[in-house]
Amino acid sequence: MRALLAVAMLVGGLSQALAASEADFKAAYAEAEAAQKQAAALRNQWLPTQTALAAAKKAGDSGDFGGAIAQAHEAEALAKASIFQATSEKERWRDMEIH
Amino acid sequence: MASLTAYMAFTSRGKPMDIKIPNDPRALAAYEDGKRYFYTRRGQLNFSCASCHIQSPGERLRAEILAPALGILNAMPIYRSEWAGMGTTSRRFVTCNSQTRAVPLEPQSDEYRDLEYYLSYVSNGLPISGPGARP
Repeated sequence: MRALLAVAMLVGGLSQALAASEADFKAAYAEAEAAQKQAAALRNQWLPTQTALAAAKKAGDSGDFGGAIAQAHEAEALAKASIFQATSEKERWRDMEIH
Repeated sequence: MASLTAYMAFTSRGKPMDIKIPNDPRALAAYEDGKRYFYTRRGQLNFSCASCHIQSPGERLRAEILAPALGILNAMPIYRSEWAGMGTTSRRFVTCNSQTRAVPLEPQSDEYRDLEYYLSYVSNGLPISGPGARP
């Protein structure tokens, strides 16, 4: 009886951990996607961001939430870098201009 | 579109590029936007058009030799071995953007058209030599 209870607790705890991971992935993916949309509005998306987002989705779909979260964070960082680039280049492009 | 511009370039061979910017705020804005696009860094590699075509003409990018910005459009459109066919200037811009790891814009987008306008104007006086060929 005790063994059965221990197994039930283990399974319950595991599924709870998995559910939390999936929720974390969804949150991380949403953040990355929002940043990528912002980059799109600035007409400055990067190809590696698309690759990382696709990898995150693929990992998430296969249940590898740890890998999916890592890829989503990578995508978010890349998207934020592209946003920074587009924003700073609004003025910085003049540094390259020849007259 | 590539075939049509190839025909137009061929019939204009040897004639100088002669783009006029009318005193119209829309034309001036298109020219300025094209210039800004040319000098703006983009993509994960943080390259602008000027990084290759002002700062590094003559250098090699794998099998390609980087062309100078002045006159670069005079040989357009081009046959590219990579494409196994003719391509428009817009198609070339798509490839350039991809090479800097930027998501390319739509062919014939406003940005690409403005860039083509700017690059054509700065090539004024140089002879048209298109259609050209590249690796």
